[in-house]
Amino acid sequence: MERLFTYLQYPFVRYALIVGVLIALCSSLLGVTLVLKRFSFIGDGLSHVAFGGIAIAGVLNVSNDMLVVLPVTVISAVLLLRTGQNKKIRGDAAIAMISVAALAFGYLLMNMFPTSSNLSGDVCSTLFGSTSILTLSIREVWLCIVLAAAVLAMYVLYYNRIFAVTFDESFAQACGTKADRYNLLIAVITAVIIVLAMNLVGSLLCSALIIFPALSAMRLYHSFRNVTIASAVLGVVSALAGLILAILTDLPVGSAIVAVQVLVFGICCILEKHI
Amino acid sequence: MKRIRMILFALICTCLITMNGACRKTTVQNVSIPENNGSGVDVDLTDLSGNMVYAQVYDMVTSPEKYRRKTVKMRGLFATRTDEKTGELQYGCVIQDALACCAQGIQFIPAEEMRYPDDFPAMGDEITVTGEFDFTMDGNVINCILKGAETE
Repeated sequence: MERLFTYLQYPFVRYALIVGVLIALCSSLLGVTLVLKRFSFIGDGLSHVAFGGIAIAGVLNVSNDMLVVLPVTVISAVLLLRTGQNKKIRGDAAIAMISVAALAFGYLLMNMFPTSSNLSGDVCSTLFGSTSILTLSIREVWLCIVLAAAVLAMYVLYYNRIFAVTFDESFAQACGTKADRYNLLIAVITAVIIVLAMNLVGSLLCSALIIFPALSAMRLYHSFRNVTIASAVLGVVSALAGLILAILTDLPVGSAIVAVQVLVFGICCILEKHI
Repeated sequence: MKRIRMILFALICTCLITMNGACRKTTVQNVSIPENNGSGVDVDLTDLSGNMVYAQVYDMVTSPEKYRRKTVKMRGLFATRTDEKTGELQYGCVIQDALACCAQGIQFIPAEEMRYPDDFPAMGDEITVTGEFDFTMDGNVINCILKGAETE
């Protein structure tokens, strides 16, 4: 414990904890909707798309890779949620298709046009997050705070509409809710969270932040509101515990967070049988 | 109206992330350096866990001005390289992250005259270095150095 307090004196540890909590909070809130809409794997697909975007930015020699990564990820999110309703290519097939294609092309481009001498390091860092969360600048922390506040505000403001679109899109449309617009909103928020979450756990583990808290909460509660609140709490607690564990014991940050989430899910499964 | 609000939200998010990316490479963090604990060492990296050391060294090589003339003690892997311009053999202490895929290194100049390889550990072996932090700029590239370094 003393060691933890010593480490908390370092600003980059405090930044990591703040950003980790905020990303976990936003992704776990959104996770409930995505899991219920049968889009659990969208986080994985989009993070692979973001990986492809980083590779394209490198090839184009764009100094600010976000100029490429964010628009590409947002467009892919919109396309994925739209093609989910397509009868020819079902949602899961569309995600799998875009996900592996983006990953393959990203790695191909990185190999063909390497931007640094440590290619394996770049790939590893992007896929698993490495210690990116411990190397954030104060500007990135503020960006995350603003984005998290925006996401939370949108979620609270449109809670009822998101709820309606999540459970029965056709009925919501029949009641006058512009389901397409709310699907677009969900897609944009998902893309933004994925791009931010890549800093925390890396591209390959992004979807864990979205699905595990929601699935764990669903073991314990059965109403949308309770599941949402429990998901947020479990997401934040797991992220904090994983981060602290990684910092104290030298484990990779992303893997530690996901391991804690798996453990929490297991505990929730056991508790479910006793409730 | 609602549609406009949603589009505005999307635009704000895009702008913020883009601005952040643009600023990332020039940002200097407002990091406080741990106080000298009486041992004569301002930044002691030997007491920190691997992830912490990596993050601290990352901060030192990206924002070196805050650490100039501070006494730094670090433990890492010994490495050498030859300066392409001068042909001089340079010594370094390399820190790896938890996944061992990323590494940050700081060059050191020994306080006393030392002969390579007799007076140094083998490449990749552990070395502890204490020296005064300084840096030079080669275009946009920052070269961090520990001057007057004592090795263990």
